[in-house]
Amino acid sequence: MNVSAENEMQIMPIGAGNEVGRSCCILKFMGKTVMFDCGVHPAYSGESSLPFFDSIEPEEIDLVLITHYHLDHAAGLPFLMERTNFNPKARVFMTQPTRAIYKALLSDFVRVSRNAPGEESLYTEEDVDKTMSRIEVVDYHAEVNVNGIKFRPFYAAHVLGGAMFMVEIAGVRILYTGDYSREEDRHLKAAEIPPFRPDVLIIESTYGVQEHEGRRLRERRFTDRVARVVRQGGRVLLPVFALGRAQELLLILDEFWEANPDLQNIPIYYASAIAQRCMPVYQTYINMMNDNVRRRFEISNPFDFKYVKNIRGINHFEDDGPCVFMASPGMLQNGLSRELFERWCTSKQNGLVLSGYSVEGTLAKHVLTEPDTIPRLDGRHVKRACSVDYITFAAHADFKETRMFIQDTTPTHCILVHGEKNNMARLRGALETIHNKSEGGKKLDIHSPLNCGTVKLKFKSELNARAINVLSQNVAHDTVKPGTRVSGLLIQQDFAYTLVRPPDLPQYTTLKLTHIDQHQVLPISKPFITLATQLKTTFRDIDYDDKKEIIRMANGGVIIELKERNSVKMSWESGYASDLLTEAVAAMILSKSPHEGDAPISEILRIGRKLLMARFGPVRRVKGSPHLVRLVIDLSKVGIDMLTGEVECTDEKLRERVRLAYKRIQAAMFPIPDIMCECCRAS
Amino acid sequence: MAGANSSYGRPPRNDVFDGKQLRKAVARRTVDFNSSAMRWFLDRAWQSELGIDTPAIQPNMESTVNLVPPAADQMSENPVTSACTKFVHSSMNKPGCPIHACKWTPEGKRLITGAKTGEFTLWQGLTFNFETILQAHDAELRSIIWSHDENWMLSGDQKGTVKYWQSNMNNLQAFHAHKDTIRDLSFSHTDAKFASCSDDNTVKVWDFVQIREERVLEGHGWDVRCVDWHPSYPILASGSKDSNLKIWDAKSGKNLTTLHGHKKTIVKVKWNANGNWLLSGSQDQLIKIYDIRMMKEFQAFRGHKREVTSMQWHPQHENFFASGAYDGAIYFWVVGQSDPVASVPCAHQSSVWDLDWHPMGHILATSSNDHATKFWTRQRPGDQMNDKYSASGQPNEEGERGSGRGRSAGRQRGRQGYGQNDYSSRDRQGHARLR
Repeated sequence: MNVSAENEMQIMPIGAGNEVGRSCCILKFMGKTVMFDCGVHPAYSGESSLPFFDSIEPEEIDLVLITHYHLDHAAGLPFLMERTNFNPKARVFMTQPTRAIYKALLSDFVRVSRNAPGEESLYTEEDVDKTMSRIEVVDYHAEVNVNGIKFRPFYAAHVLGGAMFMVEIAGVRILYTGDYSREEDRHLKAAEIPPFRPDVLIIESTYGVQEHEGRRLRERRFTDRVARVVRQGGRVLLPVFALGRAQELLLILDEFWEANPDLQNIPIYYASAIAQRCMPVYQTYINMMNDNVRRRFEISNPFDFKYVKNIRGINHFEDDGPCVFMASPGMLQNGLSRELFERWCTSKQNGLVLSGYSVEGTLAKHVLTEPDTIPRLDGRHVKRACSVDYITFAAHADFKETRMFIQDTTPTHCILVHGEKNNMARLRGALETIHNKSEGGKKLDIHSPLNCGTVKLKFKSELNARAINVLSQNVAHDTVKPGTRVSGLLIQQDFAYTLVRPPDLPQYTTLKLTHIDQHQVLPISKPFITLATQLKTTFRDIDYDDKKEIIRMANGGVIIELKERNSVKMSWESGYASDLLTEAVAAMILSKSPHEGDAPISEILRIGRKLLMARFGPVRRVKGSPHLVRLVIDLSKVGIDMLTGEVECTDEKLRERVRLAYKRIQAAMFPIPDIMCECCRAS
Repeated sequence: MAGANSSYGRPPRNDVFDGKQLRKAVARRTVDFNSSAMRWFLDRAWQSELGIDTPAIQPNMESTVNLVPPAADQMSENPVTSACTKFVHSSMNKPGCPIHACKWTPEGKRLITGAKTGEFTLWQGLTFNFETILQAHDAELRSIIWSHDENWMLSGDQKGTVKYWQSNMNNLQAFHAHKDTIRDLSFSHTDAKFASCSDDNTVKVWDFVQIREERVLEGHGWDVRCVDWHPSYPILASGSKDSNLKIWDAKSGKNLTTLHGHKKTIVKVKWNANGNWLLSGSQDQLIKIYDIRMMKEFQAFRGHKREVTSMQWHPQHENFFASGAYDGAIYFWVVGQSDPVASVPCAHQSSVWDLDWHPMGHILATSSNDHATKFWTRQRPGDQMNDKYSASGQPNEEGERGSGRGRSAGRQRGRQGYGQNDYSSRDRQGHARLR
């Protein structure tokens, strides 16, 4: 069965659209809402660093997927979960190492931003703790189904625990890469090419059309630089972000020291409290790293560095000769790396090697212009004489990798995020040239939305329904023509439709058949045999057992048995037909026997008069017509016809009052209308 | 100023017939090098080559007649005399648009500017008035160069097209050289080949006559922004957005070395005519000079407050060059001195995309994003330096001049101009011989 329909998919970056930082992308399709990443912008602070949460409805989110632990991908999450009307039923997933490091990093982030003057931190450490209980972990390659949204994480390299997510909704696959790198480095595997083709690829474009220098070359430049400075008796300062590339640099240095015995008496220091806290995570998840590390792990733990000394702080550090010092933060904003830089920058022997991206406005960015003096944190300026080098180790895909990745995954639509505006435009232009303008290129629909700009994609979904066992056995399949009537139950499950016969439900679906047995006990005011006779005259197939006093109807589907104290019990299995039948039977049980007759009318009138008297005082009867009464209320004469309920009175208000009062008296006398009360039936 | 007989002052108000109609005669500032060149030719007959018996130029108006072209011995002694900080003229096309390139014709008669609209505009070299405009390319012009034999001009544009021009602006050839924007072109020392570089990450070596792509030099990771052919060897230097400076063997196409001196896009590389020095300017606000005999940086020039955008060696002084920056400033540098020897902090309102020295070395033309092409010449002896470009460098009673233009005033004061105090400041640098 085919019905084609167009469904609109909306993809809206509310952060990292034409910028780097605060990655956050919303995907809406078939009534489902998925959020990819939720970060903050490193160059802004406070609420302005958050993604544009006010342009979405947080209570509509069904699923949040975090690719890796970097602040620009994860640090907005506690705010979203604790400070907005975030859907309490939404589920949040990340990989195990990400979750482990996420907590340590965010607690540190809260502490640092709390210390910043004039800034109120976005959330507290308690908020972070609260989110931890709601974050679920997912293994690489494990498929998870959240209300019809299927997703699967794949290796993305970049950092330990970095994942790209393949999401499938209603047969349409969307791959969100997060930050990824196709280059295998010293400890991480290269990003995988997912085994099945995505329809939509949401891809990072940090490096645009740039191509990296070879990794070996960069490593050699790095080690050469470090070695030259320490060999001339200087100190090397490596400002790094605590986690991620720092581990890679440590591996490089440790290996280089191993190969150069003359350097082995020169200490390498690494001072980072978080890194030390997270090192067990690195040591635990060796299995998620590449073969190089795993091979070495068989001999010894590669993260137990031989030449690297962890120190707690500058107080434990004796500054007496050449050394290599790795300290955070990476952009020399404050803290240990700044303190050491201010101490060492005045000597020509010393060297500063920057390895990461530095944001405009930070000292690291300023130092790149090799200024003569640098401002100290206390406001004074000191001379800069040390050498400054910039060797990038950022693990993002370059143009070649992006191009190959798109070529290998062959998506139909490609959406660029996480890239500076100009770089993104260049990349888009280059990809357009490769795919759409040159011959033989596979057509690709490329978008680079701004923040809060929506990309709308139409997907023609063929509504297919599988029919199981619906056609009768002896009808050959090829004789089924359009227009042939089939009937069955249409089951929708995760956007897939199945047509089955009801008895086959448990066999072909996860649905279960349930029987509801109903029992009802009703009062009966007539002999049971009378009821049986009544039923026999109305319905067919009545089986009356006079000994056991049981009536079976509808082939035993409805059973009526006499209970004690003038009541019957009716039992049946719930269903459309039997429910209708029992309703009719109940009416018959409750109705009075025609032989018995109603209560004499004089008795009814007597009770009515009594009640009227109690309400309005003395009542006079009219001779000859027993149903008429007269009474005097507030000096006005009132006449009531007790059968019709009509009231005669000159005063309209009074008439209305009496009419209402009598109506209530009637209601008190005949609480069940229609069936028993003649007067109601008449009116 | 080279033009010793520059016609300044108000002319008589008479009408002249320009061929079509009567017009008011316009007084144009003229910088004419002929008279000073004449003076030099006459004097050098009796002047010793060492310049011992040459009288120093005194800092007063009367000594202006003694001002000779930069190539003269007594001038080449001191490159600072060629710092063109005096504003002469600002030339602007009627429909304004950013000017990406400017180049003097080899004989120095006119300046050719290449605009964003792809048009060439020719400006008169003496009076700086408009001569002609022609639609040269249908995309943004990026580079204009002349062959060493002065017969051929090459231009490259945004779409990757290269065109050959004769000196009469006759277009002989046009071909598609690159897939992306051509950023720079450079002729080989023999004029038999030329090199082009582009945003498609490659440098290409072409045979000039056969228009044949001889070699594609691949290795840069990002846009290649500049290329320069060595003045006497088949060696190429190229700078890229990946902040690497690469030196290539143009014959084999091999990358000889990569210099990692800069931390941001390298926008210009220029070989010195001596063949040993390589100058590179970068968006990290630094200009560095390498000696290729050592393959080592031997000086970094710090001073620009924004990204360096253009650079050019002086045609006569070996150790002197000018540079322009993103904020519209022009700086003049002498190799060996760490600070700029002169500067015009607000020469343009926006990025100085290109600058070129007059072949005589007495005029500097700068073209900018603010749509203007400006001409600058040497300060004359005794110049009061009271125009707006010098003002920011001059101390006044309040100490500092207005905040906007005087942003860099404090730093530049005292070494900015070489007018009245210029010739005396030379003493401090030990160039007393000129006196």
